Amino acid sequence: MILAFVPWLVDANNRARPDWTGIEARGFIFGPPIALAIGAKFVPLRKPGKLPGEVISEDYVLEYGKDCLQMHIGAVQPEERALVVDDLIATGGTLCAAMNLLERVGAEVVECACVIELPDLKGRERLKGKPLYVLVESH
Amino acid sequence: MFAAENGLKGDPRLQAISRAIRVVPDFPKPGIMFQDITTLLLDHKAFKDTVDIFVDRYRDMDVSVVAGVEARGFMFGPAIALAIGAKFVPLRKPRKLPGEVIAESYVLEYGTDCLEMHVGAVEPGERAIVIDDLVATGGTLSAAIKLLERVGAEVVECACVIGLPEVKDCCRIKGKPLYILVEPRLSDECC
Repeated sequence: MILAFVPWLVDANNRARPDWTGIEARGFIFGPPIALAIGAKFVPLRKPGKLPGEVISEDYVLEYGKDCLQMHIGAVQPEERALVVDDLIATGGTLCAAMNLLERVGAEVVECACVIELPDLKGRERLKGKPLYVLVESH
Repeated sequence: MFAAENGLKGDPRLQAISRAIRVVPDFPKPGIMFQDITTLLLDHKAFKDTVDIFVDRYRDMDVSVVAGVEARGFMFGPAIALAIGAKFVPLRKPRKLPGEVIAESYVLEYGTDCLEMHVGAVEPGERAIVIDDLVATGGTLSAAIKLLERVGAEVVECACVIGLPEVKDCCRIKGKPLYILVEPRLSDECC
């Protein structure tokens, strides 16, 4: 599965090395190996109260409730090119919050990447026009 | 044992790994100098070196399971598992794992908690390592070892990036060896 990501990332990487952000906690399982393989830094996006330093926060609506995502200030610099990874996209709320965090610090979100998509929930339409790369669909 | 005392004495990678870890005072509560590994993850070379040191140690030890403790263990464990050809098994807080689980309660440095593992993820007789970012009292690692032993696995070693001084004199957790890369720094001031 990791091999499926890497060739695509190498193509995207030809322009500039992107950052690789992963969403707690299942995004942490896939993101770091990919970041290591492509020479990118890994930035964890976490639930409130977990990151020890100064953070910015973004609230979002979940498939089943609502939550908040945080990122360390200073982890990502303006104009850095970023990818977001999570295990699954459902309604797209979490990924949208992740993208908002990155854009608020001036980064450019290149693409979102998930192992699984639930296409019936149309999460793809909430990604503000950003591309989404998935490996498998589940209906 | 600390890596510097076990073959990596003077290894410049260890110094760079230590420097890449940020110290945040008074988190999660006053008096604690929190060792923040997120800055290590931003330093690609130091992050890669961290993983490579563990991979070099475990690749020939016939390890088929890398068990990572939520959530910071997830940042190191999968990369190690992939490199050594092992499976990765997440050990999670309650009610995160969707399938049938076994659970083990433990005492933290600052409170109590519970760790769960999927039934069937690990088979009897498998050789496992446990990975986390930091070991303090060893409570979390002890719970992890118990989960793995309850399903009949053999825990070969526990591996952590950072080890608090308390474990330096007691380099075993529940009789299992402990392998640690660096000690915590007291502050981000120049050392």
